[in-house]
Amino acid sequence: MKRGVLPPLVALAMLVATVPALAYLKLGTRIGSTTANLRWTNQPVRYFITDRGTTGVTSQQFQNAITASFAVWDAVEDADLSVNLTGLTQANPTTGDSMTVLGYQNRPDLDRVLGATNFIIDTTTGEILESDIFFNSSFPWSTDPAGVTGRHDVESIAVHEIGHLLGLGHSALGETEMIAGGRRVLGAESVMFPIAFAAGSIHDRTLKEDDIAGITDIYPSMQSRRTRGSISGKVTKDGAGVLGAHVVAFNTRTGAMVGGFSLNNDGGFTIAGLEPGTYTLRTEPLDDADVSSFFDSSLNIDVNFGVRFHDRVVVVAPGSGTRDVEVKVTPK
Amino acid sequence: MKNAAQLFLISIVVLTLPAIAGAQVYSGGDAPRRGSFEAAGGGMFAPGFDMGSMTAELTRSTPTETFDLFTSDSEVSEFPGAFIRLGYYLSESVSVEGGFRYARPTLSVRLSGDAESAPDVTADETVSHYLFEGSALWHLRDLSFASGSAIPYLSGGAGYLRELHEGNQLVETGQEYHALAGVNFWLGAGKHRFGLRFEGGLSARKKGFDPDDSLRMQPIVFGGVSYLF
Repeated sequence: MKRGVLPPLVALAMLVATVPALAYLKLGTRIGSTTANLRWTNQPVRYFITDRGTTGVTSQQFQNAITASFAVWDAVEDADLSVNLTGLTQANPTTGDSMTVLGYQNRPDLDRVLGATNFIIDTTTGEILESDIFFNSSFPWSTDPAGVTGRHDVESIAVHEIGHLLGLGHSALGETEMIAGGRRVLGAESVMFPIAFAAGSIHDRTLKEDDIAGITDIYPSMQSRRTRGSISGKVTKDGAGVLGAHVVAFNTRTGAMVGGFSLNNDGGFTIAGLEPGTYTLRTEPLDDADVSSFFDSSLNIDVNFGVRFHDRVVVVAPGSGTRDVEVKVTPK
Repeated sequence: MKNAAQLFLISIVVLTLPAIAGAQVYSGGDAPRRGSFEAAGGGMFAPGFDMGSMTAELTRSTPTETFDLFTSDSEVSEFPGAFIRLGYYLSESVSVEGGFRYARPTLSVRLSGDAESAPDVTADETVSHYLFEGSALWHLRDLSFASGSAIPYLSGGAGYLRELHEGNQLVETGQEYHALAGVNFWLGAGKHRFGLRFEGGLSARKKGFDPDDSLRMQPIVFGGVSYLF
């Protein structure tokens, strides 16, 4: 078993540059020429909570918020996932102690980072062995059920970070606008969107369909293998594959949106964990500033194409995949 | 018990015979009668309908507002198709039919108003529409015309709707109810003969590929040939 420490994953940052984009993304590690998805093989996922609060949040309130956040993911019926609070600890959420710990750390140096998730993984299989989440106590926090203006909601941020802990990367299902020093969220439809709503918002306590599809894709239950389906195909531009395009499946009946990225040089993409139904596809690029929130910066992500709708309705049947969908985009 | 059953059967036959004899009054030629079969087939047409709009919405920081990414408007095209039916005459005035309809409507989704100016597109797919139906027909012999060869009728019944999307893997089922009025033009007067058949009326469908849970009314027309035997 090769143990490897993934670089810190900046999970939820304020005012960082991004672009409007759509999709959930699974975290992965390269093994030779293939990519293994990060996931917990041994369940339940056992975690500890640092027995320490911060200004405005007692230790007990913090524990309750973290427990509730895990329960949000645990409640996804179609995901074969279980979690277990092992206990409280005085340990900090630091990597390498063989304990998965969630707790506060004072990191004023990370002035745009509310929280972050780190991993130790088996680099031959992608199995997650340990993961730690810190919440930056240099920001103001709250656990008030209705949220408090000017304070970040522990549960909302924890639901996002725990999504990473379980193996989900960032979703780009959101829209932002430029403001001084960065971007502001105009709207988002995924807890895993990389930029937080304004302090005081409690929106991210509730999973969206994009999050549910993502966690179901990583931990499919026997039932979901029969009841959910997928769309796969490729994104091409002038006949060549496009890497890093966002392809969003829009359910024409429910309005739910779930996305995926084209993840190889052939433009291949798969969007799994979809409810059966009829879908339309919308494809859009990431711009340069956004790439690092989603992909390794060494990848040559193609952003030189316009937003496009696919001209066919795509059908998703229970327990099966619709393949060979080709989405053609054109240069800007 | 066996003897009692035989007696009961005999009494039914004896009592029924006068009634059948009394109903055999017909102004035209040799009418379809109790025990006759009618096979029919032909074409059908129903107009399409609007299946409503849906907006791709993102949640805003403000709880009561959404960010609209784009809008979709769904509709289904006309239903040109075919039908076959087999009927059995319980009497000269009443028959029952079972049948099957098939059509290939197109489901279209208009995508427009994109927040990032994606060109508007209409995405579509073709759906296979199957309907297994049963009906009761009341033949209005007193209203016959064209020297009795044209016999109007009223029909009502229900059906089981089965619709397959492209790829034939996603099946959606529903119900259908119909009330129709029509006329049979019988060609000739023998027990075995051909005829022309036209009918129209209302069809009410529920579910299938239609997301609406309520009954959706559609006018529908049929035209075809019949064979009496």
